[in-house]
Amino acid sequence: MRAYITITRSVMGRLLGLRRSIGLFLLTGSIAPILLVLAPGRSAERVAASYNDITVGLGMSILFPVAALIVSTAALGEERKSHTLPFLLLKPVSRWVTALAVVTAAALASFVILEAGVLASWIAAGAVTGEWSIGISTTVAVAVQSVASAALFVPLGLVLGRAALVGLGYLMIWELILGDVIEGIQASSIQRIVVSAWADLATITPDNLDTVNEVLGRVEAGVGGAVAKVTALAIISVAVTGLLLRHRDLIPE
Amino acid sequence: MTGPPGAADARDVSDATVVATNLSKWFGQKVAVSEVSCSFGPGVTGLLGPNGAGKTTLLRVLAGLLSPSAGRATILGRAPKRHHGVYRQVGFVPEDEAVYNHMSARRFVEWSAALSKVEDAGSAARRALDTVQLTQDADRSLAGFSKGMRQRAKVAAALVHDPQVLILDEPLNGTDPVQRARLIELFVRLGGEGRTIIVSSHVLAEVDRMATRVVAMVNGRLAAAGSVAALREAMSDTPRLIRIDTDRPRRLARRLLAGNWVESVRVDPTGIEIRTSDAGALGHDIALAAVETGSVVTAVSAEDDSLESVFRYLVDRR
Repeated sequence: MRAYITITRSVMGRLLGLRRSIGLFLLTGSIAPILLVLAPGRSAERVAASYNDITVGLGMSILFPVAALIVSTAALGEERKSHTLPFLLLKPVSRWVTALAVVTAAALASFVILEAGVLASWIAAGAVTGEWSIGISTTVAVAVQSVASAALFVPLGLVLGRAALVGLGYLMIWELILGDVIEGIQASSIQRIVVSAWADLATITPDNLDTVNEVLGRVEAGVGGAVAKVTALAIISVAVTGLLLRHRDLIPE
Repeated sequence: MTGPPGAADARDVSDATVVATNLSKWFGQKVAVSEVSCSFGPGVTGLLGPNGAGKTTLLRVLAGLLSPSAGRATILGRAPKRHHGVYRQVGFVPEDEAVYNHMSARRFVEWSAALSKVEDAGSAARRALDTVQLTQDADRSLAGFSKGMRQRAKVAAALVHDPQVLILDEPLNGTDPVQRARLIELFVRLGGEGRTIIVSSHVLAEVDRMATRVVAMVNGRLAAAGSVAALREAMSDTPRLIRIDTDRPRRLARRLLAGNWVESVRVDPTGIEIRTSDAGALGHDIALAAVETGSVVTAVSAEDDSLESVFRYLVDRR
């Protein structure tokens, strides 16, 4: 337990470096100023609907996945590139514990960065609409997003030198383009899992239905299903990362 | 092992703690380490070789960072890649300059202690930082450290759990002469305490100062193993340069030239430099020649009994 906490804290500390945190906050927090620009002259209901549309259409489609991707691929990828892995791995600590700690750290660091952006838009929307529960569903959604991204991209960062670029390709091609046209892959799409959790908890106005249904496709809204899927994904990820740490060469030639 | 230097059994030590058995490592078509068999035991062993000889790859395989392509590496009887518990007894200083720039030196060493399951990580870190004389800078960020200070922080992190085996890849890189001398003193002391210290270097003078045993690699292969003197002795087919300080250099030189083991002689006002193919025979003849010629011999020394000459010889052979 001590090793797990020690690794989780140190990896989180590195991932939440000042420059990265500020840069990614500017990305995830960009919904708030958009909302404030749109708000004047609109009713509270219209602003709430805009908040939902922007959060799903921009936040959950692009901003949150990209920010979580950058954080998650850096968890082991940075250590691999900078050759600091020996400090982490040449210790009497099981590879499974190390893998679990790194995936946990990536998920927590992603959540902190995404939630900072969510809080900014939450405060902006709450101040304009007076509806202060508006950000709860988004908070749950970014928690799901953080775990899913960590599960997917931590092992990728260990294996590939350009994991962030490959991950970006995955988000753009698989999630946004193919996920739209191939119904069979929608159930396993991270974006749709995240939106399904959000849609189950959010107060969706009739104006939002088109946006939400367009993203979800054939996937049913449901926070339980989303949590179950990302939990399974996280378990598989820890197993894969642990195996990679056990069997792969841990430092480039 | 091929080539004459070092008897075949000089590759191994009787009380081995780190063992490489027919160890090979290749990356695609490139062979970095080829069929290396040797062992390391208590004391300081210098792992020598020019850049690209395979030293770093060998150390990484021994430490469990890389899997061997063939053969086996063990520390304290266990393969580190599979038995992570062995790292309780192993400290490793990688060659790379990288450290955790988001940590202070103290945090880095404490963190290393905690992961190595040291009970009182704070106290252990204080002792380790004191050992490498980083106490005053302990709370500064590693990002602002010079290369030499980073090296010392890495050594402190490797020492903090009091390991039985220390694997140090070019640990003196970037250190100033004073720190270098202190680190060498530290390694010699740790080796004297019965720990296995493996230090790689391409700077021969450094290894000469700290190692009691040398393992030399050239082109990924083990080129020699043993003490510096033993290696030099084993290279009996290469001439040795002996200097004799005497009050009558010309008379003594003329007498010694009668021996057929003398290849060349250079005389100067204070002595003679003789290149010989048989240092043992020359040694026996010097005393006799001195008596016969009435010369007073004040010193006899082997001018090329250094790692530099051993190493040049090994590289040239390849």
